[in-house]
Amino acid sequence: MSDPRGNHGHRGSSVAAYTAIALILGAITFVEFAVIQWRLDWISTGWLVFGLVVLSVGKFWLVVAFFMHLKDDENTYSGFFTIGMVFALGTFVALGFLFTVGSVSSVWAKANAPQEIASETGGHGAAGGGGHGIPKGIPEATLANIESDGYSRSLTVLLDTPRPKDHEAIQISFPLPETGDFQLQVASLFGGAGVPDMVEDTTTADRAFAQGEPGLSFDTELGLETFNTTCVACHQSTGQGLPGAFPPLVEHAANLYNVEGGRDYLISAVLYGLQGPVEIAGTTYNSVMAPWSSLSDEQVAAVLNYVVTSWGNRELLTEFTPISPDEVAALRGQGLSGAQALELRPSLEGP
Amino acid sequence: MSGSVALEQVEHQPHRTGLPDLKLIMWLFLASDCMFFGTLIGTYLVYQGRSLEGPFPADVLDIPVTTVSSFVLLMSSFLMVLALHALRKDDIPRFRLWTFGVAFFGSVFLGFQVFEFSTFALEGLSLNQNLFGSTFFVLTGTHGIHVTVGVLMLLSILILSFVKPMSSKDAIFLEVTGLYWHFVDIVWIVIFTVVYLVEFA
Repeated sequence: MSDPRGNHGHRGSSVAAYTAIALILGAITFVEFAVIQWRLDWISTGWLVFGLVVLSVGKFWLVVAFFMHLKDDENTYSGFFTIGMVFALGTFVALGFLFTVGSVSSVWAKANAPQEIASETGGHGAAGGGGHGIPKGIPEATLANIESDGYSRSLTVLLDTPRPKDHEAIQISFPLPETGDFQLQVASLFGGAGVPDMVEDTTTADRAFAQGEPGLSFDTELGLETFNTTCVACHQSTGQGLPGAFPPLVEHAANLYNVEGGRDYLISAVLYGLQGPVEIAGTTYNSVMAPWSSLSDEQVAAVLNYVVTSWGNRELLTEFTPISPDEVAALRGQGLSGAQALELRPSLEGP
Repeated sequence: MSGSVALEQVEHQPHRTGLPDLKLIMWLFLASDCMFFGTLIGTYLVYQGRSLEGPFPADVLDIPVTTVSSFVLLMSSFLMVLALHALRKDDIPRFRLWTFGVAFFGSVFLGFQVFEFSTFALEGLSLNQNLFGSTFFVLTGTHGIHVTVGVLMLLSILILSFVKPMSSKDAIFLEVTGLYWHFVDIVWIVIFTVVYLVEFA
């Protein structure tokens, strides 16, 4: 070889060495297969994932160092590769942070971000694989204000971050549904962790909102609870959905309720889910709503009544007779697909 | 090889880095490809567990089958270093045998992927069925395209070796192809763990 550097690569690497490395790689692959195929109960999931990552990194390193000869080759190549890897990991972590925008938990993720950076706990969610970024604890928080304009109400919370240079508290406002149990709503905003000390003393603003409206006989608490466990992830606690991804329930659900066939369509949508394109207020949505036939008749009725009377929807209803569990039961068991349920959608055009 | 004379002259010119251009360019490309796959794997992870409808990963992923295909790809990397080793020693018959072996093992891996994709399609998983389908097919499909390109590069070298005699002086071409091939292999090492194994942990 004319270029002496060309010899760097295979100096000290013989067929025997390559064979040994290939055997190790094969053995690691078998171990990976074995621990998954014959899952041992005494290994926790966390340790198993950790072990799998270690094995994977080991294989990665063996191939890069010996098969790609990076171990003995010029540092320039290693430098290139390292920069590429660093950027890849950076993209990776950034994606994990970016993704949570727009959900209730993301408000907490954002509020917690300064703390996490300060304590060098690093990214959450993506790195853990399947985590949803809901923080475990609640930072030092003070209930600042509960506002109500008689139509909607919101809760403002001040967060004290422990960053030494930044003593400014972060202020976050949460919109709250206009009816229902205040404490339950606040607790759901806090990821179910509960905030007993802060909200024990419900204010006069809250008392102005009685449980439901007089003359309405439906279970508002069950409705809210069902909404917060089943619907809130997509349609959001504000009922606004996410533009382009998940349709809004504000106005939209009330409009559907008002037209003929709308009641049945709403029930079917919950029972059988939806699939296909639909245009709402000028925005086209083409996604999938999961079927929620696992909910009881009472839960379906309650959550629909909750939806059509919340966020100002009540004012839009021409008349309101709560949906009864019997109506839900009558529509069950038809085995519709999401696309078939969408065909039941009444037109919102016209008077 | 029609351009080998010209390329040899290029090889002999002085370089500011003192390193072969071809190899430097390949490493630069691999660095950029790192970021590319980093994005795809990151996207898969942030959408993991967010599919509203099935089929879900645990319904369709097949660990035994994928372990075999992963093993095949790993062993192709082994054959790749043997091929380069043989060419550097001017052992042309072995070089041809191992190079063909790498291309063959790569094709077997692709065969497994075709089998896997069609099985998934029959089970109702498509690119637009759910978030899992979208992110899984884009990630593994991109990797499959990389493997396909690698197989074509190897076959080209193999065919060229019959058209124009090759010697250890041409090892740089095989070495650079080998770097690409090993890179495709390490990407699969990560995908196999992140997408397949961790799902069942």
